[in-house]
Amino acid sequence: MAGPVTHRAVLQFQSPAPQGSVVEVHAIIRHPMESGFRRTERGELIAANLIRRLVCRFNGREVFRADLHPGMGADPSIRFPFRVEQAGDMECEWLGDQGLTRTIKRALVISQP
Amino acid sequence: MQRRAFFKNALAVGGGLSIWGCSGLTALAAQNGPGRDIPQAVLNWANGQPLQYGRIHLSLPPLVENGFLVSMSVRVESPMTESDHVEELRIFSELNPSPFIANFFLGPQLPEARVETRIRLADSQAVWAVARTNTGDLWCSYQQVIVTLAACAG
Repeated sequence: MAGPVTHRAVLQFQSPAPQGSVVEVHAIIRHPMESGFRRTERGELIAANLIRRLVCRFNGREVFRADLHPGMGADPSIRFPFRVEQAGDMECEWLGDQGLTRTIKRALVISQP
Repeated sequence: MQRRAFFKNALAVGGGLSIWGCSGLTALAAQNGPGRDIPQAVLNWANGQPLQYGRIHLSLPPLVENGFLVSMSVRVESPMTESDHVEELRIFSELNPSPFIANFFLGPQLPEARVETRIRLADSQAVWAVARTNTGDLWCSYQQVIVTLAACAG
């Protein structure tokens, strides 16, 4: 691939959300997740290019982490539940090959009853 | 692929199960229980510790047309409290070129041990999920998936 590739990433969850409720956190990034097992038409192995890790932190504290391997589909999408206890910032960081790092921070707001 | 060919393949691989019959699909999606060789990668991770069947609910489509993107949901029965929670949840493949799919690190801060994602399957095979609790217990489960068009081709 020529030139820098921008990896569009999205972090989604319901906000504002009522205190004590459970929201679904959805983290997705555009990435080919090249497995390193495919070959070109000339039989040359295509080098692996993967997202290796996703770390999600809430107010700086790690709440979820995923190590990703070649068996993950392209544009890795991960959902997990999270209980709303206090307002704060959810930060998701993707780390990958070729020096890829991508961070998204989103505020979680408590809705007033 | 032609619809007809697709159904024919599905029937061939499924050992003649009726894809219209619910009972057939339930039998196909059967999980939890010995009777299938545990993949080497799972045994390596277990490192000699006993694996117990159950507690994990894997949810994958029993029949997929395209192995490039297969949606998967894994849930582990766990109270997710400080004293009793799932620490790590690993997903393994039996027949992909690499047996590793993903390792999820959870903790008591999650209300429920559940993750949803999308995986690749190189062939019809069983997908394995293994959970390690904070007390060191290992729970495992698998689900058979039939893939008519495999990932990694070409």
